[in-house]
Amino acid sequence: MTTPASSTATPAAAESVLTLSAVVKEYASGGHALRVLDGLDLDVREGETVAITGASGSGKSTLLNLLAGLDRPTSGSVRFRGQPIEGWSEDRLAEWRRTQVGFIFQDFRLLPRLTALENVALALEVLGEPPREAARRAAEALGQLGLGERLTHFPDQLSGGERQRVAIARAFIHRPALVFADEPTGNLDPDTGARVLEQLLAVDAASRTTLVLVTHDAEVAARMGRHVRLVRGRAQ
Amino acid sequence: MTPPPVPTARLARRLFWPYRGRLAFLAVCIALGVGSIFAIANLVHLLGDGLYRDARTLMGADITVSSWRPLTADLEPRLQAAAGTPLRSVRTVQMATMAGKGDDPPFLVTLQAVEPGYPLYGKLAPDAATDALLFAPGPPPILVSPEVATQRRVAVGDTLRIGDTAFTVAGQLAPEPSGGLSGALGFAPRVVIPLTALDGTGLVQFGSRVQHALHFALGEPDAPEARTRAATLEALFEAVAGEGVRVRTFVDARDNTREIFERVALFFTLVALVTLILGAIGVVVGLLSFLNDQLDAVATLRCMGVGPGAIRRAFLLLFTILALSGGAIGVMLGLGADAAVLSALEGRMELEASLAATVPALLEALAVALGVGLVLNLVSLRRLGALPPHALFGGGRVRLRRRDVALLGALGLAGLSALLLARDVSPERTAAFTGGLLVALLGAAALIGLAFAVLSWLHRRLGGRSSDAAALRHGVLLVLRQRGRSTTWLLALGLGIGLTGALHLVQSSLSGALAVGAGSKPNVFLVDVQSDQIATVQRLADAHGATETQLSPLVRARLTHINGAGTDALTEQRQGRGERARLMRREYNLTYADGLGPGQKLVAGELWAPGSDAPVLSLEQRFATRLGVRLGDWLRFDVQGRPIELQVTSLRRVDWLSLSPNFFVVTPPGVLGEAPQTAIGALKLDDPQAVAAFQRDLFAEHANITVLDLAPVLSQADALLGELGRALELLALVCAAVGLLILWATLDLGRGEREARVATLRALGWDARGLKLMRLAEQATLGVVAAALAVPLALGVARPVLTQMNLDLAAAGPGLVVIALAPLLLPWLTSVTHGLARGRR
Repeated sequence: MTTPASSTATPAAAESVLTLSAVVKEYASGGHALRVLDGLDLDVREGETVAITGASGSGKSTLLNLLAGLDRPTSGSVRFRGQPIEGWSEDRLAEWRRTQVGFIFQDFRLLPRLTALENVALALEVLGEPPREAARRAAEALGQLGLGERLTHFPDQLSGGERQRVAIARAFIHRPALVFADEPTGNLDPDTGARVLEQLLAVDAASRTTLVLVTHDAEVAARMGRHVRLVRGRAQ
Repeated sequence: MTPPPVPTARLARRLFWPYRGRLAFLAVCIALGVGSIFAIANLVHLLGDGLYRDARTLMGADITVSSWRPLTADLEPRLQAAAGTPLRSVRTVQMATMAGKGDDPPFLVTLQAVEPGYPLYGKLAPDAATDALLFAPGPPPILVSPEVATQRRVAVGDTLRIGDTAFTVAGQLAPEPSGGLSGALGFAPRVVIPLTALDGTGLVQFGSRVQHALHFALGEPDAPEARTRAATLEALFEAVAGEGVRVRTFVDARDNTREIFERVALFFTLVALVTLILGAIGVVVGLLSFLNDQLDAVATLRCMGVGPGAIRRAFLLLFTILALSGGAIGVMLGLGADAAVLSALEGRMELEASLAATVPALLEALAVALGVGLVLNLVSLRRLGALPPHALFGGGRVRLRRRDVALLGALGLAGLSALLLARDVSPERTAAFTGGLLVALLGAAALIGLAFAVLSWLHRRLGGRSSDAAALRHGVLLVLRQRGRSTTWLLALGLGIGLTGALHLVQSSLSGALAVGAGSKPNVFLVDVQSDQIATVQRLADAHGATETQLSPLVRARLTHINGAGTDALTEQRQGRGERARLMRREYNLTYADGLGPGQKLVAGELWAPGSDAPVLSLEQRFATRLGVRLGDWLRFDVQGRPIELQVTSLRRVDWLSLSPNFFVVTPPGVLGEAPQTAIGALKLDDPQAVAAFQRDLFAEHANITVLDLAPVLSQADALLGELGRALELLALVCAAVGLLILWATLDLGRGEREARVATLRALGWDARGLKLMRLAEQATLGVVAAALAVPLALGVARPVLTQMNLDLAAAGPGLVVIALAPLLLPWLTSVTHGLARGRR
């Protein structure tokens, strides 16, 4: 992984990676259906960086769940490279996420009893990578993110920014096609958040990975190649 | 290209190895539960086998067929054929007769004439050489019991005249510690002669009351196979059913020892169950804490593409390893405990048992360990399977649900039931135990709910503007707001201390009852007292300073009908197989009385008014159960030719260890008062010289009365049972220590959160006093509620268990105070020790 400073632009002729068509998502609430997404259409292309913003309750997290195959739409279709993922089995979805998807969470979600190195290496080990090779690659990735001195530290021995950088390394280490980031700077102070965002975008650019980022921070959204605003369950 | 499946072992290692400390706690809890189950089951098997060997050594055979008429020539071949396998056998003849030494007055003895080879197990004399003297050539020899030797001053080489023969005393018989009480050979002291010398005595004539017996050995003493023995015994019973012969087995021998053994075995089982439940509390609390930690990790892994199958396999691997390692450690711990118990009993008990891991106990331990592993796996997978990975977005957090806890409880109760049923506990008792536990759990849940309501009300009314008042309010609020954790604490504390307390109550009552010779129990017994001799006996007893003198009439009778149906017919129709059939065939000693004697307690129905002649009777409770008779049933006895029809109107509990004359059947005085009868008596004389003087004076007036001095035997039994009582006390203490250890670890739950809270409150300006007060209020609130759970639980468990043991609850006051204080003190001790541990770190 290298760290160029600029954000990526959308390649005009790139293929669609994720396509949402007329997606509706409803939840049962107090005896009636609560419609969170209301006929949403969205097309995310290869290598694109997309920011999804919206007010609280606008359906950002719901959209992320659907895009990542963690939840299924009430109606409509979610396609990955043209294949509808909502019909896939749990095992097929797990395999897809294991090989094609990376996640970055607002509160990092590092396994507390594993060191920084082990947390990153785990993403490779579950793919069958030998532990020694997984550790070597994880150490390399963490070194590139400036964490070479923190390999054996546990999450509670790291600062917030360091934790999120470990999470970034974990999300990209297996070279996924897609990375989903849920408020990756939401738990960080502005300076640290800005630095982490720079590193995230740099890693993403270097790997040419499609990045879908949910945020309510307009400055963060402005750094993405495209900005999708959710209003009452629809994209604007 | 399809990626390779997630490697299970590696995933399990990554997920679980960091939690090895907590998992080790789970394994230790499993080990303690399995260890206790194994140790007790193994010990009961080992001692049970020892008791079996001991019982048949006392009887000298596995089975004895006897009759007051000469046994027919074809009886033995028929029995050998029925057994289906060649059995060792030997004949004896016995009778009550008079023996005389020189010019001394003759005295009553039980004369036993035996063939070479008797007894089939054990020896007549303490050594084989003396046994051999009985069949040596020369003048007719005789072996005499220690009672004859001491009371009649008979020594080796003396001449003892029985009938027309003068026998030479060749040696002494081995003492029988409780043989005199069990009635194996009658109450008069025993003498043994060769069977070939019997004719010469001229005692066997027409009309003589002579008992002819045929003894069988079913197998080699060291290779008892319970199923084969039981089947052979049943076949022999069937072969002689309805022939008017008495069949007696080693099972009938040593009723006193059996009663003690059964009580101790029941206590052992209680210890095992309590330790198992304590272990289960530790397992449940440990599992809940472990799963709550794992839920986030598993959800993260799900997002990373680790499928539910891979998660399931990793957990299955974990719990299999935990179950097997916990089980193996448990078996080793159990063997160690058994070795310690056997070592403590070595040389103090007549039972011989050597340390071994018995197969049934091993299988049971393995089943329990794997069962626990399976339950843990099921509950874990149920929760993890339902885990929504997207719950992580937006900072969501997942927790164990109530229905998972309910499932855990249901599976635990089902497992416990299976364990009890596997131990041959009846379905009714199993249902009563698990049902009682369920009721206790539901009752505890209701009580905790009520406590929360009261605390909530109290919290609203806790006024005061001082910082102390605020600290107290906050302490109570913590209990209310951490409802799930408070409930776990309360259940763990209440159940743990309540069950350990129950164990203590049972142990102290049992130890008290085992003190056989202590206090004022009789040590001298009188047999064959005629009605017109009772006044003399009473006078002499008073003159020699006897206390606790009891003389009870004894009327011989045979049970002929139950509710109008003849017992012979009932037996022949095969309605009363096994023990019930044997009880119908035997002869009974009935008595009559105006009220209950020492060691008796009315448990059902009503006793008659003094002096009553109503046609009713009172039965010993367990005898009634064995005979299949209930209140209101009618029994007809043949009292020496006269039928008497009596209705069962009361049931009594009898403490057979009270050593008072006790009877299965008691009637009002008016029913049997006129029947031909003798009396038996019991009294206590403290001084051995007073016993000897009483014997001499009584013999001078009534030579027919046999006096048995059981003081040496009682002293020996008292020492033995004292050791047993101390062993039980130690066992209860060990169990309590294990329980406290598990509770100590359980109370550590949530320490991290507590420390974070303290840090926050300190930052907000709380001082040390305020923090202490808050903690005190929290602990005191939890302690009071836990005590309210523990005390009724301890009593609720101890009482029915003691009823099963035929015992009353001994003074429970001090024990209950400890049980009530323990929930208050334990959390405090826990925080102190945790504080010390933290300080050292």
